[in-house]
Amino acid sequence: MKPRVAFFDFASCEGCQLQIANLEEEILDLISIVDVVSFREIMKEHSDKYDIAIIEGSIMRPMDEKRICKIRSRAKILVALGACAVMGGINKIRNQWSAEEVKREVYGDADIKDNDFFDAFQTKAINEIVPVDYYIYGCPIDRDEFKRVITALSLGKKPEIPTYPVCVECKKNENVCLFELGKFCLGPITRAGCNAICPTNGSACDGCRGILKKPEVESIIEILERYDLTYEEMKSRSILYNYRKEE
Amino acid sequence: MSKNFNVNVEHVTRVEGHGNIVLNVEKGKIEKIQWQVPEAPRFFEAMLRGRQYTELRSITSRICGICSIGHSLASLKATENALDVNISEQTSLLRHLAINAENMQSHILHVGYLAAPDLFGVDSVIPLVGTDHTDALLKIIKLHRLSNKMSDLICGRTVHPIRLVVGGFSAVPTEKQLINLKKNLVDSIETTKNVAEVILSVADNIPDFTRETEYIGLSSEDEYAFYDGSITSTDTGVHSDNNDYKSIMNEFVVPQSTAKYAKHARDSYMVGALARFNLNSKQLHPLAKEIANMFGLKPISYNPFMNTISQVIEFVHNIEDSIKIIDQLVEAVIDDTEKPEKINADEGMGVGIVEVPRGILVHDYIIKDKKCLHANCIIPTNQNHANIQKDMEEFVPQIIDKSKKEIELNLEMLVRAYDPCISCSTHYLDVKFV
Amino acid sequence: MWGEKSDKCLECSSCTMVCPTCFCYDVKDEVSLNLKDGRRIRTWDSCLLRDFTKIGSGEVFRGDVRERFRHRFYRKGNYLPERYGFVACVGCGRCGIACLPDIADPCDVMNDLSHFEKSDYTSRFFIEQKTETKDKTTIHVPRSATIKHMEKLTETEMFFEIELDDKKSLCHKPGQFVEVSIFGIGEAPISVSSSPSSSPSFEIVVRKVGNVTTKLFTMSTGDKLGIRGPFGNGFDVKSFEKKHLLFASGGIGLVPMRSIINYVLEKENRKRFKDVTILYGARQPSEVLFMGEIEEWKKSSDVKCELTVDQCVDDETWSGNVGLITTLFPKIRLDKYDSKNTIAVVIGPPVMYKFAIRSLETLGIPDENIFVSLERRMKCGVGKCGHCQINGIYVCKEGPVFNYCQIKNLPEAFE
Repeated sequence: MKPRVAFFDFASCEGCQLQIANLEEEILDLISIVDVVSFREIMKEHSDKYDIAIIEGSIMRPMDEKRICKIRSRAKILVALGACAVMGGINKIRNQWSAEEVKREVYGDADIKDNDFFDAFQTKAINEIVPVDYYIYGCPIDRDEFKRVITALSLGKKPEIPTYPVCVECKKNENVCLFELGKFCLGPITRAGCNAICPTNGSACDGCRGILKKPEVESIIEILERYDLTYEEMKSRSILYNYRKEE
Repeated sequence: MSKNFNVNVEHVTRVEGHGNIVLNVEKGKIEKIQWQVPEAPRFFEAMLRGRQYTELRSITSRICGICSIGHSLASLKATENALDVNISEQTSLLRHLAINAENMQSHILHVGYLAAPDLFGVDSVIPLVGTDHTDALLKIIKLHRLSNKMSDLICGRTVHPIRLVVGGFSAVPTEKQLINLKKNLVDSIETTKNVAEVILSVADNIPDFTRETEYIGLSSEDEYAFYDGSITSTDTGVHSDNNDYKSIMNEFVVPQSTAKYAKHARDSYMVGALARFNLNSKQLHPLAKEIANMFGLKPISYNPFMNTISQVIEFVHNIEDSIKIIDQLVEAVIDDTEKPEKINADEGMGVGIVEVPRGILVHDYIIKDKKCLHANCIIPTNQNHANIQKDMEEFVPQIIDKSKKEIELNLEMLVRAYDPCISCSTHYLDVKFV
Repeated sequence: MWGEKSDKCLECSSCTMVCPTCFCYDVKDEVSLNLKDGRRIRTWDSCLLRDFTKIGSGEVFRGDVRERFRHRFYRKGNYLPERYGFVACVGCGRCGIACLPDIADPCDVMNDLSHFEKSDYTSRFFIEQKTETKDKTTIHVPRSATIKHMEKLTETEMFFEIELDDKKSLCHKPGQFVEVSIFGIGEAPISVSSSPSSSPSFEIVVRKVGNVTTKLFTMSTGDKLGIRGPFGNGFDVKSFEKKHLLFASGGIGLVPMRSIINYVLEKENRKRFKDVTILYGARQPSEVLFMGEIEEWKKSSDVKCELTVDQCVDDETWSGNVGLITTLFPKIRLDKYDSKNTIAVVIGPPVMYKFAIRSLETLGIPDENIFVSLERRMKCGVGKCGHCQINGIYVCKEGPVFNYCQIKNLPEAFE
């Protein structure tokens, strides 16, 4: 029996789901190996019976929390799709300030106090609310990686997500290292799997797939000095997708 | 007639983002019609606070997955206006190509995957596989793939572009790649015509509903405006100062929506493909004009359902326009080593306005010390929310005698016709950072 | 010195990626979205990456970045020169440019190294290879084979009898291994558990740890597999003749050991060897493998067999020994002559070697009479892809059977 797959989204831009629609003709292959029972963005059909739930977006409000818990209880396997679901992504930048502060800034004096729609807390990744079985990284996800994960799940094997940095793929593409061109690139410490798409297009890596290992501060400072870059810029760029509260 | 029923569509399907339709009818009387927007607010304005000017376009592109190129461009225009950057002619042409690509991608997705199923009487494109309509579906997929390949080439990636940077492009396509792209575009014209004919064959299923309202978009003397133009209204004409967009786009908060509503000369107005058509139809390229005639669409059309048809027309126009631009670029001999222009100031104020697939988009920045101090974004879809509400209020009485299922379907079709991008629209504001 | 430099290492592997003489590679199975076709592709890999030496069970053999950093320089400056006769660095300087913390330049490292005392154990990194590959055409392309028989031995171990589809015998030596392919899933190195004379089919035992092994568990008799091999050096049985033999296996180590045990105990072969003693220790009674054969060995007058379990959980019935395998060694009586004339083979989990070898030394068995079989990540099986290296030795080619003398001083051999 084909596995039943359902897609859900929370606070996100839906770009990762769009990437799946961007599989073009291969969508027909996809629906031949799995049964897509729910995909709100392109289908009206919906079923509450599914084996694999694929989630995009972060959790922002109590009503979102309730919804993800219900989904988790129905699914055998839960896959977090994209940076927002996997680790909070860009949604976590606002965690630098309290939820109250942010709401006041955005909605001003408007009366939103007892309104469930507006009841936001600090952004959370999916695995901060429910257990996640597999992660598909990236902002947005890489289509080829998505295909690899789905085929692996269909074949009953564990999907292989790289544990090595972007430099491996960047060098395989024979790119000139962006540090040599005066840019600060987070590639050396960011997870690979995207085929180094940003450095290959001339734009330094922003770490959207997650930082692998935090290097020693002295090492970073030395590198920055050698290439004439500022610590401030590095700090600013590394918050974009990988914001973590300093403990 | 005494009818009691409720229509409660939670999270309308086949639209981008989360919207609810609520309709309560008691004893034949309409008690409540509401278009709700429960989309989780992501507080983008907070994200932009204090960020480097180079990062703004990356962050704002994440407002939406489908119109990410549009957001990046509006952001770049605003940043460049603030920091006094003059882009080259080549960059301008390439950006026109980028916007065409995005428009094509978004429109074919909407027409083919989101709206057409209703016209065919199915719940999604999936049941069409293996039927007589498989050919049409494959053609739609082919056009979608072409649009994406075009975005991939110009911007590096279609969702969240990479090559669009302040002052230009981080990497430029080669002449060979552009010529190949042109060939693909020319080859696709036949397919596009076929798809238009298929849509025409089911166009009778489009409800015949009109409501007079205001239409706002960009217009220009030189071209069908997407990248450059002046804010124009069907009621008040061409607006002289783009920087004074606030006098036209007046926003206000309503409790049933995390997105604000907007109004100008009337209680609501509409933006998007239909608005652009109503304002710019004279500048359509020849084949696009032919397709417009085929559907019998003439300005000013007050039927919101025709937004979908306008998208088909724009798609054709975008193909013709792109072919023209590529010819221009090749003739001027494209320089694929051109580097982005440098900034000439550390601070300033700038407004960037572009037409994205769903309507007119405004980004307004105040930058100090190369960091963003103040950000204001007006999103197309939140300018449409008020219009959707008003349309529903006028439409429901006209279809109140139909079955509950049919009313539900019709209301959903109405929402889908607007091609709303709801997650984008929950970001708008006026924030001062001190 | 290694620590000082490698502390700054970002483990980005840029140095190996740009190096013109680096040739380590990985092999992956790619499956199309329709699940009907796919490819097996070869991609560059790097010894600087942490998961380079990771095996199915998750164990990593060069986990510390210091070890990996050191390995790269020794490989270019030591192991490859010894094997092929020239220094494997051409001095292009790409690694030095590519390295962000600037620690990769071989000149800097070699110059620093020269300050240290020259030790003379470098000559022992290389082992003269004695294996020849008989049929060159099948090294990389798997041959089709069928599962003839399957039997569950324990919760995590499954026994398979496999026959090549061309009906030819595997022609393996005891101690060798094969690479088992399931297309679309991958390939795994598995020791051959049967004696060569059990042709034409051969036997393997698989423990469920990773993708391939888990998939094997779900297969049935009659299903097809791909087999490459046999690879490895196997036991040099000629050198065992006229000697006493002592086989000490722990846990799953009994599987490869069984191939040499059954070979030795065969009627035609038995008289070539003197006394045979088998010691086997499992963790718990439920994890004992091949209980049936063990019973036979125990009953036989030809061979002495002792069995133990590390511990016995309450609800299992067990009337035999309880205790680590080291508790079995005192049961052997060897006088001075006998111990000099005894060959011992030890196969088991990494943690077992240290203690077992100490027990053997207590019995008076000299180091050059002790043989071990080591496990590493064997990918290509023919000494090319680089994953199985222990220092300069390819475990798939110069091993997996090693004489203890050859490797007792190798820094990475016994963790």
